[in-house]
Amino acid sequence: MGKKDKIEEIKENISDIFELPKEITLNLPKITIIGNVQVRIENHKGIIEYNDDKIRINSKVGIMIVTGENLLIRNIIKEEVVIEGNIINVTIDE
Amino acid sequence: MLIVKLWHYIRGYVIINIKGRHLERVINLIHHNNILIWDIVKVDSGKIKARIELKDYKQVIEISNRLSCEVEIIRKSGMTLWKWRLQTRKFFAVAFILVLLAVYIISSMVITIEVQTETSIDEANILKELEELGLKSWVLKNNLNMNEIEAEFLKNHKEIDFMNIEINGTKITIDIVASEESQKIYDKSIPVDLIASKDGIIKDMLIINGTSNVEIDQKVKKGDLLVKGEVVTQKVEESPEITYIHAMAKIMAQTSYDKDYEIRKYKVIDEEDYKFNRVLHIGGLVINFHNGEKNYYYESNEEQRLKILGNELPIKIDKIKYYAKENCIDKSKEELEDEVKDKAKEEFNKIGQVQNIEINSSTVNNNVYKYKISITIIEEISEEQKIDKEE
Repeated sequence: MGKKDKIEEIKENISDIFELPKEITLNLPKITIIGNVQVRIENHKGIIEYNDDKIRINSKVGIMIVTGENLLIRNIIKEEVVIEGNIINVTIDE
Repeated sequence: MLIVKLWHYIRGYVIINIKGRHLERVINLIHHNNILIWDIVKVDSGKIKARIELKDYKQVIEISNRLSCEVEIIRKSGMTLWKWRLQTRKFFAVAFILVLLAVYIISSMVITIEVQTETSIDEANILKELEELGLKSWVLKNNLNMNEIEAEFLKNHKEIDFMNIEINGTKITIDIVASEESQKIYDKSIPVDLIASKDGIIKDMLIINGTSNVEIDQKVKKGDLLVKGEVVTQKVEESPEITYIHAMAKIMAQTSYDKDYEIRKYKVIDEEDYKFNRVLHIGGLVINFHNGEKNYYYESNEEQRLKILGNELPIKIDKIKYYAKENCIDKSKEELEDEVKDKAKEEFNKIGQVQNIEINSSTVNNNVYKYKISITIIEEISEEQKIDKEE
């Protein structure tokens, strides 16, 4: 176990003990899906691929793939990306 | 979202197309540089459409150039562009301000004056007099003191009871109500005769003071002397002496009236269930918006004329209120006659005692019967008239 992994483990333990949100303490992506029309991804690391049927977004845990129809990026800021369209599938490719 | 849209509109934004091979990298770089980009739509494999703030446009071009991408503006929008637009369209800006100014000035003026009156005074004369008092077209409303004008006008016209000047935008509506001719009632100490206030046949008399001048069943005309306000006294061996008194009597006479009444031909089951049909008349051209169905009962017609600055255009709209036929039942002849008689009775019972109602004729037009009727009533017809002693 490397030094980095150890720090992560400590962080996870602390957030468990104090019931802190892990997306903040561990900088994990938080995905909110509203019906099949909107996906909100917080703590992303940029867009890898953008097509109207597939969007790949980089994150700490791997690449998140949003597939659907007529996809559009409603909003993109440093912390958050909002995707709208007819969402079919959201997967994480580790 | 509306607030966000409004925020973008206030700050100004540009809709752009970015063409190139590394579009995802362009998006990443843009947001890494803290540039707001939204509504990103993939147009085709090498083109995206997005919106950015006006101030970030140059920076986006730099980023795109770095990645060999091209940026083209589709449209600029927002409030910040107004300043730029006004600078490039000076004539438009001046014209816009002038139009605003003209609208403000015109709306603070009186343009049309309408007089609503049932008095004998001619409308043109009223308008002329009001003009002399300062109320005319194309004067500023703020310069007019309506109370003063009303007071001055009423001072000059004793026959007018009430006057109201109402300002409605650029239109002034003047309501004038004439004072009703009231019967003169004199003090009991003043000697008066009683005369007939209308034509009739005397049917009953109760004289309290004065000397009768008429008999029962006598025909009298308006103005005929009914009761003399005098008493003749004669002492033995003296010539008769006339004492003038205040005549008092109750003279009941049979009078007749002719009146027209309009009665609807049909009974409506549901009064609230009416419809409107609009017929547009443009010059000689008639456009009927009704579906052509004639299966309805006409109720009333309201004519609306289009006006510009008080001038009538050759366009009018007939707004016809009607009931569907299935909502109506025709009244029988007896029902119609009973209704007209009831109507007459109700009106004439306020004046006297209704004796007879006779229907003279009836015509029908647009589902409305017009009845001409004669009504005979017994009513009090005496009226006081001051005695002129010099006669």
